[in-house]
Formats: sequence, C-alpha cells, structure tokens
Amino acid sequence: MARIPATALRGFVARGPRITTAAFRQTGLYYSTMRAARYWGKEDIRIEQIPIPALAPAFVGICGTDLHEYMGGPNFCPTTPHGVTGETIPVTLGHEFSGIITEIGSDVKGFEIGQPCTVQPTIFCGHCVACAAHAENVCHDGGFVGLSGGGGGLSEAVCVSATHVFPLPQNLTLEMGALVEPIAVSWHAVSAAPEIGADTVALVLGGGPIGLAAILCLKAKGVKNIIVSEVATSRQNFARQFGASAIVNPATEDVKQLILDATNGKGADVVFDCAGVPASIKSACEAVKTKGTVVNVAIWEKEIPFNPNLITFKESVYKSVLGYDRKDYEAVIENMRIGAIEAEQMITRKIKLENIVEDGIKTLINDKNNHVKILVDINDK
Amino acid sequence: MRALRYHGPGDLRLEHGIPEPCCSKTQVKVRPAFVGICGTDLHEYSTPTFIPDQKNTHPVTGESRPVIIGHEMAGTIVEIGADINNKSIKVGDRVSVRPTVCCFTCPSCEEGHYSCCATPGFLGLSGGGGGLSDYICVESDFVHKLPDTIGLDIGALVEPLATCWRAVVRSGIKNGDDVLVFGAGPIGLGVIQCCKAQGANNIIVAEVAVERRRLAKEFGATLVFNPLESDIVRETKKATHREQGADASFDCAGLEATLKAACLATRPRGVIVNVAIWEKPIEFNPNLLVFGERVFYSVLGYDKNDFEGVLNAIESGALKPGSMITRKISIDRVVEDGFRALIEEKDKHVKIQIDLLK
Repeated sequence: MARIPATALRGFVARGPRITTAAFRQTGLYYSTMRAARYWGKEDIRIEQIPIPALAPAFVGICGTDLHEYMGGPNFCPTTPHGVTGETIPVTLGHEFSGIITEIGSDVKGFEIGQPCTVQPTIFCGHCVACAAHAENVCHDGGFVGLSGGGGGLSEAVCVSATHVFPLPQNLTLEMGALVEPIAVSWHAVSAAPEIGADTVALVLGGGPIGLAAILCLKAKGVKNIIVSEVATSRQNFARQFGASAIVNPATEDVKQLILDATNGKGADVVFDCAGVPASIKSACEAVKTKGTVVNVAIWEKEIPFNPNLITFKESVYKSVLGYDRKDYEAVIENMRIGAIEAEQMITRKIKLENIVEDGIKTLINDKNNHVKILVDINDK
Repeated sequence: MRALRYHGPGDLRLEHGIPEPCCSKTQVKVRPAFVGICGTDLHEYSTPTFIPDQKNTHPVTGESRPVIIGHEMAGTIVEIGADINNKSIKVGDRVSVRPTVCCFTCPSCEEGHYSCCATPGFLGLSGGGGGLSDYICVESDFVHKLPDTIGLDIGALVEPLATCWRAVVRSGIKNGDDVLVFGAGPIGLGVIQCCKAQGANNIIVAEVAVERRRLAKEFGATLVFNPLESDIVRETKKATHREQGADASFDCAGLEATLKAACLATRPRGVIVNVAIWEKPIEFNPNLLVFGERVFYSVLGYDKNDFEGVLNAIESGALKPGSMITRKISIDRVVEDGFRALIEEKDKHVKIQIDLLK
C-alpha cells in the first residue's frame, strides 16, 4: 500500500496538528452520538453516549495494558493534555481493533466504504527525529489510539489516519483482524533478535498473550526449538497447544540448568522476556548463551534490582522493544493470510461492550490463566 | 627470580628466589619490561575479588594466594616452545601480552569467546604468573608483536586500551556520531581516545574531578561537564542533532546514577555500553530502555582483534596514548609510589607503570 502523506488526511483524526475534542467538534464531523467505553481513571470505565466520528470498530481485544490502566492507572492515559492528541481523560479505550470503513477523507485514495480492515493504533508527532527516521513507535510524544486520546476501538466509530489502516485479506475475519495488534508486538520482538532461524533455540519467559503470540511468530519464522517458562498450568497447556517444544515451570524447576542441559551447556540463542518480573530478567540473562540476545517485551511497573554484571559476563545484548511498525503489521497480516500464524486459537471469549468490566477486565484479572484474548464484539447489543 | 606477590589484603611482598616458570611446548617466555597498575589491582589490594584464596583455587590455573600480580604488560620474548601455534613469533620480539586466562573447553571457549569463559581469569590476578616478575610464560596466541615504532611502555598500555576499544567497537558508532562518556578515569580516557579514533563528532564527558575533566579535554573530549553542577542529560541533548541525545553512551563509572543518566541521554534506538564491573545489584527500571528501544551492551575484557585494533591505531597515529603514563616507578616501590599515589592523588595520575629494568 502506498504511503499517504500526513497533509492529505483531511477528515482523519489520529495525527497531525493538535486537534482537541472541542476543536474537532467544530469541524462538524461529529453528527450524532454513539456508545463508547471510556476510561475515567482507576477502576472507572463508563459506557457512555458520545459524538460519532466515522469508522466502525467490529472486534476489539482487551490488552494487559488496559488492565493496568484499570487497576493502577492512569499510566498511559493522559492526565495532562497529550502532546499529539491534546486530550486528557476521559479517553475512549480499545487499541486492538478491526472494523469496517464507513467514511473516507476527501484526499484519501485506495480505500472503499464497507472494506474490513485492521488499524495500527500508533500515535506519533510526525516531526521529531524518531519520526523522521520512520521510528514512529519511539516518538517522544507518541501514544496509542485507545489510550492516549484520539478515540478508541471500544466505541461505534473512530477516525484514524489512512496510513495506518490495513485492509484485511479475504480469508481473514474481523475477529482475526483484531488480533493483528498483539501479534505485531510479538513479531516486532522476534524480529529484534538476529539469531532467529531454523536451528535457533528460543526461550520464552511467560505464557501470557504476548508470550503465546511470540510462540506463533517464532513458529512462522521456522524456529522449531521453542522452550516456554510459565508457572500456571493452564497457560502451560496453551503454550503447548500454540507450539512450544518444551515447557519449564520456573517455580519448581531450575530454568537456567534445564536450558544448559538442553543445549550442551551453551545456553539459549535468544530469550524473550514476556513476563517482566525481577526473576525473569535474571533468568533471561543466565539462560542466554555467550553473545546471545535477550529481548525485553515487557513494560515494567517500577524499578527492580538489576546487576549489569549479568550482561557483562556473557557479553550478551539486552534489547528492549516497544510496539511495532508498519512492516510488522504487513508481515503479521501476510503470515496470517497464508496460515503460518494460526491466530484464532488466541480468542477465548467474546463479550458485549456493555459487559466489558465484568466479563472482560475483571475476568482477565481474576481468571487470567484460563484466558488468552477476550474480544469485545461491538455489534453484539 | 624476583616477583611481587599478593599474600592477602594489604600484603604485597617483593620476593627473590621464586622459581622461574618453565616454558611449555606451546608457550613463549616473556621478560616483562613495563607493567601498568590497574584499578582492579588497587581494589584487590584492599578487597580481594578476583584473586583466589586457599579455599577456592582457580579452576584453570589451580593456584591460590600467593599469586604474582600485574596484568597490563609488555616485554621481550626470551624463549619459545617447540610447538607454538603462532609461528611469526621469535626470540627477541617485543610483545604486548593478552592476559586472558580461560579453559579452552567450555562452550564459550569452543566458539572462541575466551573472555567469556565459564571459569574466567587474568594472568596477574588468577595465578599462572604475572607481569611483576622477571619472567612469565604464556600461550603463543596471547602475545601480540609490537611494531618497531611502538615502545615497550606504550605496549603496556594496549591492555587497558583494548578494553576501551572493544566497548567502542561493540557500540557500532560511525564517523560523525555523538557520544557521551561517564567517568574520565583511565578507562574513560581510553574510551574518549577510541571514540575519537573511530571518528566521533561530539565527545561529551561527565566527570566530577576537575583535573580529570582537564585530561578528558586533552585526550579529545569536545565538551566536559561536572554532573554535580550541570544536568548532563539536558546538556547532552542540547549538544546533539535536533536535541535527540547521544548515539552511544559509555558508562565507565558504574553507578546507579550514571546508568540512568546514560539511558536518558541516549537517543531513541541508541546504544548504551557498560564498561564497568558492578559490586552489587542496583535499582533499575528497564522502561528506561523500553521507551526508546535502546540497546544495552556490556563488555568484558578483549580478544585478539581488540589488541590488534589498538596496535594498528597506535601505529597509524589514530591513537596517541603516551601521555596517559604519568609516572614510572621501580618494583620495590609499588605500594608507596604506585598504589598510594593512585589513591591519594588519583586526579593527578592516569597510568603509573612499573619499569622492571629500573
């Protein structure tokens, strides 16, 4: 898909000059009201009627980040005007979403009304050094549609930059479209490791949604030896089902020793930390081979004890990744299209928007081990 | 022969009549000429860390205290084994010694990563002899011939510079990149020189001691700041292209505050290289790396390429490290004129060398 310059995006919200809700309302794009799940603060998500923009979400995944905002936020959700959207809470939630195009800006080409699509929810300023280098995911003022203002998937309509809309291939359902975002996170992480290939020994720490998606991405990249470290039995089962070649329980087994035994004492070529706890960073550094790569895919809540000597003694690399870029989206969609990534097994429940707190967020908090991805079906009223 | 041996904390003895080591078939025997004193030597003098005690003999050398000290050394070959690998070496050659001790059999060694051996060590700390003696025997692959233009005293600077060279190579900096260096002790000053040799544009240095800031400028720093007085993160951003931050930051200080500042002052997708050894875990939030997708490297020691890189850079004039040597002393005055000077007048000194022919 050709890249459409930002200036051509009249009628689309998610980037460019700071458009406040008030200013945007003056443009006349809001012509009616709609249902939306809006985040007002810790443990306060309200289903409200708000003015409508112009693209209709169909399925929206609930992410760990949403849970963090609910339980202990606001973290990402802005309490002072966001550098790009200019918005503060309340903001509409939902950043993992697919939908149907309902309206197209006058200067946008290559899309059709009624087209099913998925959205890369990256918000970026477009003019900083990172953006100039096409590293929009590390834009200093960056954010996400569905967290930082600019609307969100958990509503009946959202306006996004056409540059960040990906039409779904015919054989991909809208449910699968909503899974592209979390899988793109893992694809981006897996792509950060130079060692990936058929003979790679990969260790994935944590069998939550991102860890499980990492298994799918590693498999798609031809990796056969995928060892997953996870405490919860049900998540271990998911990991096996998703394609892990071996499972380690870090609560009862010595991860480092098991990896060394499995690799003739060498260590894993690459370790993905999808757990983000003090024990996992240590385990990752100990289990990786000399000169290997540790990829951190976790967002951390606070400072942790860390000894840089853990990296020194193996001269390993500790890389951190954040989000994804356009290439990751394209690769994930293509791998889903050809069946190399079998994503639908991630969906463990579909719920109504009105029930998002009880059936979605609270279920993921209280019964997290039995769920991978809960999708909100916006059209199920 | 003479040797300066470490018997325990605060107990260094110059001893005579120590048996001269025998050169095995694969080794060469070197007569050390100059040996530099390293921060590690000072640290070991008060708090033994690397030097094995009687309960924990080193797994490769099988030795424990007393051990001969001195690991930054250059000297002359006096004997060669019958079956050495390195056929280009002959008696009379002047060489710099790479003092890596390793097992040659663990998975890291099998892949040639000797400095990451599972049972690592250094000559002059872990047994196997040391530079502060009349003779030392080393594997022939671990000596690097000095070009005619490089003196033996400069040859003894190659070891500390190789550590710095490795850090700068690992960072992947390119001609014109901006770098930030924390700490202008001997390693920091070496990193500054290696960055300059690699074509760095801005070399920004954070150092508390005024005399060391002066030395930093002398060795190639373009901007120096006292981090107690200036906001190093803001100053670094101000000095770099569109205030993006440094392309690479080198932590040669090894403090919680320097590692954090290094992360914050490095541009998105930039690189942080740790060149310090840490005494204990610190409180660190990996989000400092996450938001910006920064990469964290850490280096340890050096390999053959690093020694050759440094020697080539000195020969070509890209590195001019001579003025790092601030004093030359004799082997019977190591504690008095060496260690004490480095502790009590540390701002004045960079590298104190022992001249074994003195």
